[in-house]
Amino acid sequence: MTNQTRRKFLFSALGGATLASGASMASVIPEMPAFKKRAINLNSKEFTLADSQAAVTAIPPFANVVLNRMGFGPRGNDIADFNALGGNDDARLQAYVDQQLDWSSIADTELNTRLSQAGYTTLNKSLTQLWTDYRRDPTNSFGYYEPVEEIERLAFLRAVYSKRQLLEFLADFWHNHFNIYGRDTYAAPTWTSWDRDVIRPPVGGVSNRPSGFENGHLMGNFREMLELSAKHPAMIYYLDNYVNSKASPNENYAREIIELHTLGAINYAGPDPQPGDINTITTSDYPDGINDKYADADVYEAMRFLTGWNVKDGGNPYGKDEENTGEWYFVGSDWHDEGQKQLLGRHWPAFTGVSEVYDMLDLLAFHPGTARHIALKLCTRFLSDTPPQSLVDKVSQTFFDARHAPDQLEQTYRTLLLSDEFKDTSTWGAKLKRPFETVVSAMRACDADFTVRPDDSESRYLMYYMERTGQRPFYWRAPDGYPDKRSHWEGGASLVNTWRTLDWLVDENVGRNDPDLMPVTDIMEAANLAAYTPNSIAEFWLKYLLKWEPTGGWSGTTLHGILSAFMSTPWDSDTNGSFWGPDFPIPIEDIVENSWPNYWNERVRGLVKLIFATPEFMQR
Amino acid sequence: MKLSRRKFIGGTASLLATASGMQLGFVHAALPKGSRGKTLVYLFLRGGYDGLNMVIPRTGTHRTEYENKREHIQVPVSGDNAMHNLNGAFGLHGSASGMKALYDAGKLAVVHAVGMPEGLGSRSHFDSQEMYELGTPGDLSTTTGWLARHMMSTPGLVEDAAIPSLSTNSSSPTSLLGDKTAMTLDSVSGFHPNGGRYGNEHLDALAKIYNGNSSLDYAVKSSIDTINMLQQIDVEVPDTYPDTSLADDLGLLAGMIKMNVGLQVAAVDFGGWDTHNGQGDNGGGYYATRVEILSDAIAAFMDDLASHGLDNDVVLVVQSEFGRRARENGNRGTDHGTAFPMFVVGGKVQGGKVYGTFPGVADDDLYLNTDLKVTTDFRKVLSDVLVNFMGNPNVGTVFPGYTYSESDSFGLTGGAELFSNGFE
Repeated sequence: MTNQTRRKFLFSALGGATLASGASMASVIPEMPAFKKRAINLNSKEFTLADSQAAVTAIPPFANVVLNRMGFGPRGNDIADFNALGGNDDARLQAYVDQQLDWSSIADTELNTRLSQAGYTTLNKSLTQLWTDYRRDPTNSFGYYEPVEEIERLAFLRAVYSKRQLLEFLADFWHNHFNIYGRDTYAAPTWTSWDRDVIRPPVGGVSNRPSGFENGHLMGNFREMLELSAKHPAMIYYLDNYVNSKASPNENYAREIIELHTLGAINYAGPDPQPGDINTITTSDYPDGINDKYADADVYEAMRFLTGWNVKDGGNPYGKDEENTGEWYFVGSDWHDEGQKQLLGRHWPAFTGVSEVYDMLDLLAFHPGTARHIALKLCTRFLSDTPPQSLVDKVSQTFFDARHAPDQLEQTYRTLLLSDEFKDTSTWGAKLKRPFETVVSAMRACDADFTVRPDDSESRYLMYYMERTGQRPFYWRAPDGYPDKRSHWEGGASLVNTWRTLDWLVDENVGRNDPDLMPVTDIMEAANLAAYTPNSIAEFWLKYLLKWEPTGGWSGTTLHGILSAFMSTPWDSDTNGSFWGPDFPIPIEDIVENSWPNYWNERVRGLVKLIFATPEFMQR
Repeated sequence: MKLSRRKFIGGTASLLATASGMQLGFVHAALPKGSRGKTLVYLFLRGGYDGLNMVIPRTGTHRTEYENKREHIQVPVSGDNAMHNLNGAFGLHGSASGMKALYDAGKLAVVHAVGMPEGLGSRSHFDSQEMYELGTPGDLSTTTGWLARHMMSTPGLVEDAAIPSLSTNSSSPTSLLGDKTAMTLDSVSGFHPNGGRYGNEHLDALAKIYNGNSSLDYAVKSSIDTINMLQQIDVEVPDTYPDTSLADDLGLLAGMIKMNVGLQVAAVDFGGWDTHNGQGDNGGGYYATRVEILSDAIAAFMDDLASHGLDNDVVLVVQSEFGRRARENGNRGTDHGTAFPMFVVGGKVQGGKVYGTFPGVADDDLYLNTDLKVTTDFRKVLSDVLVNFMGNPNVGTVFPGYTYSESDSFGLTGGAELFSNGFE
């Protein structure tokens, strides 16, 4: 690698392209302008500007709102299919939610066809097989990462092509809730198992869960899911519990299982709680009372509970079991702190053994604070950065009431998705899509033909571009998961790199033999417009990509005017451009061929990229 | 008004064609005299850094207690991985040679045992980072970051600033929350939403679409400004910087400071400090590598600025979300703690000293019997820099509820220099 490649050059792709095409450099007089004043008044209100959504042309129809709120946006005939589900919005939503929650009844033909052609190799390997093939004995130096590299690509394939949109939306949620950095030492080789055996429900009607944990997944029961997550080698390693012993206690996992996975920081009383900060509450599980909030003392106690909670990884260098299978096991009294313990106001006698860990998981999973924490996160994900408390309370109540039910989580989602707050379209646009959502929903809206797969260069490029957006899947290093507030994503780096990703997707393969990843030209040709003009093309694409139109159509709206102007502004008026009006007829052959001097095809692709960048598309 | 395409081509072409010295010459000439402002670089060590192994008790009782609590991971006074001697009582980690040189040159000050007031902090990474960056200990409900409030209240902004605030992270950090003019820029090549023929028209259309007053509108406007700026300027990170992403970030900042884009504040992140496990025995290992990357990058940054006569215009402040436990854990790592040393670096810094009060690491001296106690409020350090270096007297706005006392100040940047930017 030369020095050149790692240096940062601040010049744009545009500038580079211009120079390469032959602009004269030698005769240019250094005419560096004084930097322009920024358009923004530095002492005005933008410094105290609260997070707020950008204005949109109008509220879309109910079907569009629903399909954007509980999935990755409409694709193909989705809107028509939704509207055929009943006689009114309530009936349609009820039917759609029923359908999506009964996910295994939804045929996923297109996804399965693409999957069968994509060359994924790790999907059917058991945890122990994955451990053997990729942790113990990788066939090449990249072998460790094969599982995580398959699942990160599969995340795109599923989100774009699966008709089980709610399930995919929830998989994204729960991966972030129990966030693990996918490149971590034990995570990378076992990631297929983490995704399949902890997060997702088993497919094909046959449970791959251990007895008693058949419902430990995102559609099932949180307590079971929590234990499966706790027993997975990826988690045990990522949060350092594999070295947590009575001789050498380590609090990392103990802290995060309370702070992030269950009670949440909203129920933290601080490092030095004063009298009155923590109160006793009772529940039917704990009629004698438990503390409503946790303190650091509880974290240290949880750490003691978890001493010896471990993984069979060959024993080295810590003198554990010699077996090397990647499976969970409890080391026993050599490692486990057998002293008496307290947690959240409850007491355990000495020498309780591993059963006290299960008691701890019960206490955490069945605590009303956990219900509030998870309800708040779910409502934030589905609906708004600041969801109505009325909704959080309802969802929390269902989560808590159903805490022993096998379908606890399904019931919880049902409460949320059928609530008045969810149906309220007036709050449309409250969420800024995260980069993963933006890219996936763009691929869906534009009929992308892109079988994201383990081993081709286009899929590698996609991951490269996503990394720049700040949201490559399973790439968030800290255990709190990708942030879910717009303030985090409203930065230039994330926004521009998200648009760059779409820029690449729309342009990739254009003019080559391979099919375009985004068939913009085909769609334009098939539109068969009576006349292709800047106006009619802008009108067509707004409706095609957003999949709705305001009363009276897009024509005449401000947004349409801006896009039509983009289509009709000469790009280099003082040399070889032409002047057109909004009704200038453009021969379809010129759009297909992208010919000199007007490069209409490139112009149309630019229009598509711009629509992806509108508040109408970026927000939901 | 947008630059015409022709001008933009001229600018870029000339930058590519000329030597860096010439670029600087004409850039300076294009700006009003005396408009160069001060720049504050806020470097955040994510993960909670083990400050006790960075600025280390070297002699006496503190040393004895330190060695008792850190049997394996202690940084030795002499021999392999020996610490640098700062002032007899304290040493600097042996891998921090670059920072030691800055200390010796009087450009790096240490303030030990800094943090939030007792009882207001948190051992959660996330809550603690939030509170520090919001600048409101104990309060997570604040809606703006402290750097954003500095930007809002400072009289020291360069009037024609092109890039007043910048983050080199992939997203804007909490310290800049509310400052919708802040640029975030994690990479520079190909930073454009339309790399094709219609790039400028694309930006024009985006600017028309996002002409409202929401936070997203401002974020997009700022993105467009960033892209336009990138078309006007050219920064190359010199070879004197090590090949690390932190050094690249600081090199990019130095380049912008040299270009005089009016940079007032910059936020930089450097992660990997959550050393629960195997952080390195006897001053070596993982932690030592982290320290070396940090130290070498800071040294390259300050040396670069100094060689352009600019190190008096920049102060770099280093902090983390907490220090770590005084005692090593059983995995030869350290768990989440409380106080930590901060560094303040720059040509105007009254360096070569260890400021603050070291509370000791004997059991009875520790917070909750486990952590280094906070003896200096972090806001005292930051206010010192804001008032005396950045020329912003409005501490009450930046840190609501905190009272800054000039007489109690450490004078880290040489005492009152209010309005030294030439503002009335």
